[in-house]
Amino acid sequence: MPADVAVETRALRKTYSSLKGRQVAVVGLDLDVPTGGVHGFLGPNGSGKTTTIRMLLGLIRPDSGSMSLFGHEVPKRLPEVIGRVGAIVESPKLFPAFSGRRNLVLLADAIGAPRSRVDEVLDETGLTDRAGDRYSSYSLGMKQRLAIAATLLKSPDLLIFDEPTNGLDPAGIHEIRRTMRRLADEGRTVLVSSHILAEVEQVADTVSIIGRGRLLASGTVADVIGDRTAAVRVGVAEPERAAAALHAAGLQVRPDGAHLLVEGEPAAARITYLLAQQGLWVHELTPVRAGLESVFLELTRADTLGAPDGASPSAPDGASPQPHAPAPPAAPSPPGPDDGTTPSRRTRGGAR
Amino acid sequence: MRLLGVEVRRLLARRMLLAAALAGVAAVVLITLGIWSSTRPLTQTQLDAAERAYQAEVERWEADGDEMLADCEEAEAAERDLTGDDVDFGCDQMEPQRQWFFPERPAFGDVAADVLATSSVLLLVLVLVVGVSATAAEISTGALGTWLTFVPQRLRVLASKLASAGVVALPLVAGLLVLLLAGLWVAHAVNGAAGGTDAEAWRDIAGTALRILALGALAGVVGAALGVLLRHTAAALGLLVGWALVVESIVAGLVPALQPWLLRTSVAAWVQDGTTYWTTECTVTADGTSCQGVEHHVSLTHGSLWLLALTVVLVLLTGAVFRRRDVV
Ligand SMILES: Nc1ncnc2c1ncn2[C@@H]1O[C@H](COP(=O)(O)OP(=O)(O)O)[C@@H](O)[C@H]1O
Ligand SMILES: [Mg+2]
Repeated sequence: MPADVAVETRALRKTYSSLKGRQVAVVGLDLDVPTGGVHGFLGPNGSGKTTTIRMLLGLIRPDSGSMSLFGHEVPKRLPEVIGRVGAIVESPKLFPAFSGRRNLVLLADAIGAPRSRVDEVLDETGLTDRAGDRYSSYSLGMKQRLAIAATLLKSPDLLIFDEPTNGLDPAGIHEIRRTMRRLADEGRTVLVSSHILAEVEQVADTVSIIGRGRLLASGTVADVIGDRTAAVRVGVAEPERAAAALHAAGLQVRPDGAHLLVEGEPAAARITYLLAQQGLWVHELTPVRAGLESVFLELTRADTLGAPDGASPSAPDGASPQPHAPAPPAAPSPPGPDDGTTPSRRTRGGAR
Repeated sequence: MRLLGVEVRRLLARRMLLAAALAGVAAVVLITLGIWSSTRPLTQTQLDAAERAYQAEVERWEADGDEMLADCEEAEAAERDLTGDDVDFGCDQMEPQRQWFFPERPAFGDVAADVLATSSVLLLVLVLVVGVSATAAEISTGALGTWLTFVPQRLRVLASKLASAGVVALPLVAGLLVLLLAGLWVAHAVNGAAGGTDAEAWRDIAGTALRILALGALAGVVGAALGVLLRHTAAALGLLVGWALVVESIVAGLVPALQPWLLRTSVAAWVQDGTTYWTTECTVTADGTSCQGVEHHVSLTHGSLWLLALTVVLVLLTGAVFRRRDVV
């Protein structure tokens, strides 16, 4: 296995069994995280991010498939590599009744790290002043910082943060981003999961997008966005008539509030020309850069709408042919009524 | 070994341990007060009343004693004829005795071991609660998940957690036993009944205390294992209470033959260096069914081996479950 891969999973599959029945969480996931830099692990809620991270850390066992961390097979050889991996899964969870310092001391002792390291990481995360206070009295941001301090006890080569900004205020979010950037600049690999794309777009060097437990796209941020067509936002007096006209000309149009969104890298001049022919006057014409957000929405929506997709050869799964409820909308802005512009499902490199 | 040390330090820092220690001290104080009040010398009023009662009984005996004796012997003879057994109605012990009215106050040395043994149930419950909460709380706060991202070897983690609960039980139980013994001695001494402490009494006391200590360590391990297995303090304590009510009382009442295998019998055998239990055995004869209580002995060896075996099974089960469990 190549040494420049921090995380690798192949055909990873996990089904939760509980009293309520079986829940397929990860379905044949192939994930590759290169060493170095920040890697965004993106997907809507319930798409299997946390499940994947737990499997990588040996907290839960996969049904099938293989995983490795820095080339060490996991979970079999996890003890050899765990010292190089720091992780915060979901929310920071430490002993609530103990002080920040005591929490760190216990963890340092458990892995045989020197006590002096505790002071160093407290200092590094700016918690020295509050180190003597009970962990449960910390704000979420401080808990997050303490949990990061805990992972730094190991001087890890890989840091895994699972939705680290959930519930933080803007200042906290900014701080976490800066921390991730700093850690990556120190030469560590940071794997950060999120369901909010904008958050990761700014800091990630590479991304993987998953939906319903499967990989949908991956690569550098530029790759994943670059494949996508930009759009043009059109402000026009009679949007319905305008939409019909543009549609007739073969453009992909969908309403965007009071505006229209013309997708597919249209030339602005062509739009004005087409509309002018109909006697429709454009009062606004803005090119929209395809953000990760729209790519993400498109990918995951396509996936939700997706026809039966025999993606998991290992799983005929007669008992539950439709194991997933439709994924909840991934972002607050609801897509407009579908006027025939059903987004086509695209994967990496699928530009037309 | 390193992990065990860390876990012990963690448990010692928990407020639960402090709470258990305080509850234990409160219980010891109550027990001591009870002992003190029951060993108090009789007041003059009580002495006078006892004297009067004794004199009244003596007078009655002098008046009607012969008749009562005759009645008794007659009834005894009738019973002998009926059953053919050599029954004894104790007719020759009917004459009132002074000590019946002036109760003997037991001395410290005579009762200390028994009081320790009786109080041991309380100590064991405390240790069980400490052990259960040590692991269950860690699981429900999610701190265990974080811990496992530092030490992923499940069985090592489990072993250190179970063992630490046993280790921490030692100072807790030892401290409370010493406190209880001191309290008992003071209660007796204040009432002028600190005697009875010959070498054998001390041996008895020390042996009982050491056996309780060992059982305390075992209870810590059992509590921690139950906490891991059931994941919630309430669930584990509910199981213990349910077990005590259903199995140890109701089922045991229905099937007396189970008694040697009950936890309470085994615990009693362990703490008291052997114990007894009773069954009723009935025989059907021509005259009908006659039943009598039969005393059985349960040895220290029996009790301790049985408890150890149960603990081993519980620990192995916990290991099998925890090794494969999804920690979420
Ligand atoms: N402990 C669990 N028991 C049963 N189902 C679970 C459990 N944890 C997660 N799931 C299900 O697995 C799927 C993936 O969940 P998760 O990995 O938490 O997604 P994400 O982290 O991407 O939001 C979801 O459908 C979720 O409901
Ligand atoms: Mg999650």
